[in-house]
Amino acid sequence: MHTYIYLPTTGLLRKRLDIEPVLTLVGYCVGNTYIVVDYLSHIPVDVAEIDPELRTLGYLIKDRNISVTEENASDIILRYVNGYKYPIVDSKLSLSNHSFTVIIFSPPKLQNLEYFTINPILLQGAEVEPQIDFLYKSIARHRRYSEINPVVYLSDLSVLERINHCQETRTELGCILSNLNSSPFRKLLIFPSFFKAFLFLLMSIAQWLITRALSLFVTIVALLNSEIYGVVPVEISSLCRQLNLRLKQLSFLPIQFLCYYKGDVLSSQSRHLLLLSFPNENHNIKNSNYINFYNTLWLMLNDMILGGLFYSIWKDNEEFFASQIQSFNSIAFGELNILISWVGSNHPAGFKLNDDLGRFMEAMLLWTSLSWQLMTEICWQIYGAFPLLQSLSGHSFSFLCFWGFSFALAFFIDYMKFVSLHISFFNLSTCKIYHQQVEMLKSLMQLFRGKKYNVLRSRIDSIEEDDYRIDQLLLGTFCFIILIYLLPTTFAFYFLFYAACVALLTLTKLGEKVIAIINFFPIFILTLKLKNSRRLQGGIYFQSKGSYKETNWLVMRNRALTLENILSPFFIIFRKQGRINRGFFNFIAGKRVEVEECTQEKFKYLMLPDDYSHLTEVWQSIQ
Amino acid sequence: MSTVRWKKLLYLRQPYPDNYTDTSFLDQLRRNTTVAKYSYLKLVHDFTLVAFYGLLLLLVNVNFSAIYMKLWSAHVPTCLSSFITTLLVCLDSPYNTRKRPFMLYMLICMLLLVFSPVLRSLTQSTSLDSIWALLLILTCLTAAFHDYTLDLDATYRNIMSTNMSFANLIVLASRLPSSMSVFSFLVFSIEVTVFIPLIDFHLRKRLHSAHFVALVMVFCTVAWVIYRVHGLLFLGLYAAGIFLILVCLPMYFIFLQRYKNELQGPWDTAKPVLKSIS
Repeated sequence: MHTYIYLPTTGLLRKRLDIEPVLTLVGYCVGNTYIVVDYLSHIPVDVAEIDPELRTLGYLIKDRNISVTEENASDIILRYVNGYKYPIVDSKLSLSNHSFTVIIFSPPKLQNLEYFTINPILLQGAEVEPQIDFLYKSIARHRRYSEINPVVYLSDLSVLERINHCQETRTELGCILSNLNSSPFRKLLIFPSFFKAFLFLLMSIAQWLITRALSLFVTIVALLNSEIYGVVPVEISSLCRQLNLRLKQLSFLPIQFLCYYKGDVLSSQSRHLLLLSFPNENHNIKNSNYINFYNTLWLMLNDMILGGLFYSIWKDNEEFFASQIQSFNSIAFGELNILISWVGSNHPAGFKLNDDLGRFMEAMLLWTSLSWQLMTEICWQIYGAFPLLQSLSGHSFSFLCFWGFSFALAFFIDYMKFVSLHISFFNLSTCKIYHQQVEMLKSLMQLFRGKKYNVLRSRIDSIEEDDYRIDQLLLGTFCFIILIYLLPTTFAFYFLFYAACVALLTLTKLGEKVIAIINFFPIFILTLKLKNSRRLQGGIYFQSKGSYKETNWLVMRNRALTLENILSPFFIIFRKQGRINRGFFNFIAGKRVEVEECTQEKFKYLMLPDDYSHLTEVWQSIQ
Repeated sequence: MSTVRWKKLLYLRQPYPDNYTDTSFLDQLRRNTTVAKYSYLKLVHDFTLVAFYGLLLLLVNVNFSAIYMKLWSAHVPTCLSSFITTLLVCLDSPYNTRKRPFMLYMLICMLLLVFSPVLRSLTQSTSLDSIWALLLILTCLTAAFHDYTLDLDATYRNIMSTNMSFANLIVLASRLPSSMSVFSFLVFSIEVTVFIPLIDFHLRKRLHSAHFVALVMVFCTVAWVIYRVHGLLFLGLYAAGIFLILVCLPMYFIFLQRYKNELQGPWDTAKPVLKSIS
């Protein structure tokens, strides 16, 4: 028979026994596990008043000679042995053939969101989920139940819960003791009735405001995600994407805040309505919501401060930024046009391209580029002609900056995309031409070899006697040779615009990575780790402190989340942002640049609900 | 020697040393069972096919150099060859099936006519050396991949070689100065390298001596053209080449037969006979 005894560190002092030779152990007994809550010199009569299960478990005595009056009622007798730091279980006083494990823990302050948990807290919805299931399985395999005394482990919720509530029970016990010692005194906070009414009014106003704001946000989010003429704003514009994310975060904040105060605020039905995944349990729900809430808030504040800073820098160096934008424009139009003419008619790098086709494509592309340049210039002229428009855009820009630096950055990304629209158009068209040509060459190559592709059986057959017609064959070869000779020319243009497009995408990617840092960096979690790592529960661990006869000692401590645990989900998102998929193969096959989409992962990372359409209902149902 | 007869079975314990070789060991050895006896005349006849196709390729290339050197206009040989081809087609096919070859012929002509300006600009920026290199490679490949149809009962399938020679012709034609000469040259070349072998195949089926007449005619034409374009020295080289192909190569072929040493015996690993899927 093996018995576990959990002892809190506070109050466990050897010196205390010099003054009072016998200390009563008060606590719980769950199966073969004793959880000591406090060491008392006086036993209050009504211990059970606090909790019906709370009772006297035994005694902590200075040495063996001291007899305990109520020995029979006690289960365990602890005493100190010279040379050892922790008390041992006096087996002579207890039943024989027993072994004991004394587990020392420092009682967590639950109101500070400190607690012991076996399941690590999940702060970001990441793909890497901790593997704890197999641990449970291995524990379950080793369980041996006896009918007399059911074996329980730390993994049982009842044990862990009592350890977590240890500090609270101690405080209550302390209250009762002080009541016994001194004259009965009860703290009474009497709110004046008008103050209560004022609070109620304030609360209802806040609630009304939040409900209105929520419905507004939800409408805007729905608008941003809806398809307008086949275009989804969130998909094409970084600014819309950033706005979408920020509004989603903002509108989920109230619920997150309530979840932190009361873990079970959301019913399973509302969770289902929001399509919200709740990977955490018990205390972890509160804690994760608390941490995520403040992380979001902190990041938003940082973003706004950075935005303000950026705005003031912008105001001071307006000419510098204007010249930067101008230089980007000149690259997008001037330099690109020079490159087009170089590829079109100057035999780039000595490659012998087809002159006629080159000149034709050059003329076509230059014409398109010039007309787009003209369009943008007209836009600028219109913008310059109306002072009202200028002041309006100036105000909206400052407004944007104070929403956050990420918004300003997203705006510049959008501007860049808009100005370089002709480049993506060229890339699209040359891509199509090149792709078609390569596909035709592939099938004509089969004809050249004397084979043909059988569509019905999707395999390659050799050409039969009946199909062999010399005119068809000659036509095929004819096209094949012409296309082969024209391929380098189309490839040169294709390569030029592919490179330009990739350069633009890289710039965009850099900007979006900065935005991702602003939006997702786990800054609050890192500061919490510095400040109090006990609040980042990553499970528990036991440290052996030796043994004496039948007793062995363990110290139970919280394992804090490691830096890797905290940062790895962020780095996954960061690395995924704007990654180009199958770059080389798509380039060779003449397919478009494929940028990896990670919006869903982002929302999952922030643990935001998937469905926002019922958010207002859920909010109202909480009230 | 022991009285027990030796058996060629490894798993038996026999009273013979390990390195013992019985006299019956090589009994079943067969040598050169699949080798056929060749007659010299038959070989010469087969080599005339190679020579014929080689002559046709040579004719096209020499004609090109003549046009390229502006010795004569591209239209003259085209007219001649068109006339001859038309005549041959008429002779070859009976009256009621003549329609299809002519349709085909017209179609290809139209195609070439339409595309000749595109073709002319195709290799304009490529240097002449690369064109010659390409010409050599493609001509060799054409000759190598050509279906010489020794067996007259088999079908004439010559896709690879036709495609290669056509690619070669387009590369050559794209060097010519005007669209019309590109067209003429292509028509001439297609007639010579694509149609004449086809017609020759049909001729051989019907009238064997016609093939030799054609060979002699082509030989004379090429000789005359080479003499006109490249001079006497090349004519000599040409004659020597033809002699080599028609006389020396069959002899060499027969000479090589004596090195054939094919062994067959019961010890060959058995090959499973798979039912071919094609």
